[in-house]
Amino acid sequence: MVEDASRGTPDIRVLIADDSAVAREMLKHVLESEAGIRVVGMAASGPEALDLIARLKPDLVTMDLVMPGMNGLEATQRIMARHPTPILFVSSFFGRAGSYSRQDALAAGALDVVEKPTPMPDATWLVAAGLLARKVKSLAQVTVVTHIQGVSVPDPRPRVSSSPRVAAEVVAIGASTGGPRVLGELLSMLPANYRPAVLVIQHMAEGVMTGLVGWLQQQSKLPCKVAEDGDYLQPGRVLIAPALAHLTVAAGGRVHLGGSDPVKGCLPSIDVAFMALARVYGHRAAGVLLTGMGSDGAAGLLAIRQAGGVTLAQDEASCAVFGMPRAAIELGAVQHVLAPADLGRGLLALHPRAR
Amino acid sequence: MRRLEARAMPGLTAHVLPIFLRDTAARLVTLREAVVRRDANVAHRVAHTLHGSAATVGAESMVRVCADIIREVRAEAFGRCDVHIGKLDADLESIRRAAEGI
Repeated sequence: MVEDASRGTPDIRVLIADDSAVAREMLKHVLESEAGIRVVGMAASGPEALDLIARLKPDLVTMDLVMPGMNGLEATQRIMARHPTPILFVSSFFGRAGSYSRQDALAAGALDVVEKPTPMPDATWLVAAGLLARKVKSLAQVTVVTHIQGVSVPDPRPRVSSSPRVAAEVVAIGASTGGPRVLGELLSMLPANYRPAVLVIQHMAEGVMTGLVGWLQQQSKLPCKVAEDGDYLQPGRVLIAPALAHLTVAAGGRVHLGGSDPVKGCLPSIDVAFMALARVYGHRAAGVLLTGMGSDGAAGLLAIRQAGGVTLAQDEASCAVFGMPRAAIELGAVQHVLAPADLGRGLLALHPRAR
Repeated sequence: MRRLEARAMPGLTAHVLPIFLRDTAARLVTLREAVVRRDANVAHRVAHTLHGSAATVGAESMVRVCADIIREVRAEAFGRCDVHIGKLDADLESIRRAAEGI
């Protein structure tokens, strides 16, 4: 397929990695049926994918999970360490009993996971195929960073001297694309006696949320659960906003779930949660905004700062997408822009005993 | 197959089917050898790939049989896999004959 130079917009160049020749051809057919996408190579294994990525430099890789020799997760880790490229898992194997979870894919460095479309004699196939093409188009625009494998890279910058020194009663963390991995890192740094209540708002599809919470629990010494209406923010507990409702907090820390209309296209909205915390907790709230597209959370983080609370944002170099943190910085909402390890140290500084 | 061709993306079946026939024949050989060797890892992976390929072309009977094989391999009941692989061979032959009529 030849690019149409007259259109002016280059095609998105995709590499397909799948050990099934049938799946490769099906995916190629699906993707190239969409204007603006061109398949530049196909790999039948992880090592072949690594080789082709180095030579072809695609805009995005679709990755299967089950492949001989090197599975998709290991291939993803190596790709992100050597030739960081947006990776979209296309597999029906995630989430099955005894298999890997979607969070494993995100932790390895992939941006998202979709079911492999299966041609069926009804419209669902066309919906799935359309979703795949749209995901490819949106994720190919994401700037990804090198993931160092198995090495703790010391931060050459001096320790953050301006890290927060005031205690917070509640710490709220908002995240979107690329968020789970950083969330895992931050939660793993918090001790079992961490005093502030922790609230997490991660943009994620409904079906994946339970798996995310389970995975975060494995990283965290603090108990983690999906927030329910009527829950209370409690010291040393992590509540994660569920997928299909906005989360607000009333006086006393009582959680309320409600509203199904997206705000800025987001449900749950980080802005909605952050603004509620600013109203109820004022200077006793701290807000952290992590990687993600768009601007959700920027206005909410500003509300926390204006209420006297501490505000942190993830730095550009470590973000999968520097959209939300950038929007917050440009709004004047952010006091400290930090890499994940320093964000973790910043959260520790909010713990009363750290003063 | 014709219904699938009509309702799925036009040209998809015609494009993928020859690859499916060729690829599946080769993988059935690999699967049989893995079962004889009692190599659960290879047998499971090949059966999984066949399962996906069969689903792609709408070969529902093969999808069910592959699921049976995956189950037997997980239970290390390799003795029961032979019958299932025989069914896959027969289904593949049926698809090959049907493809000649599309």
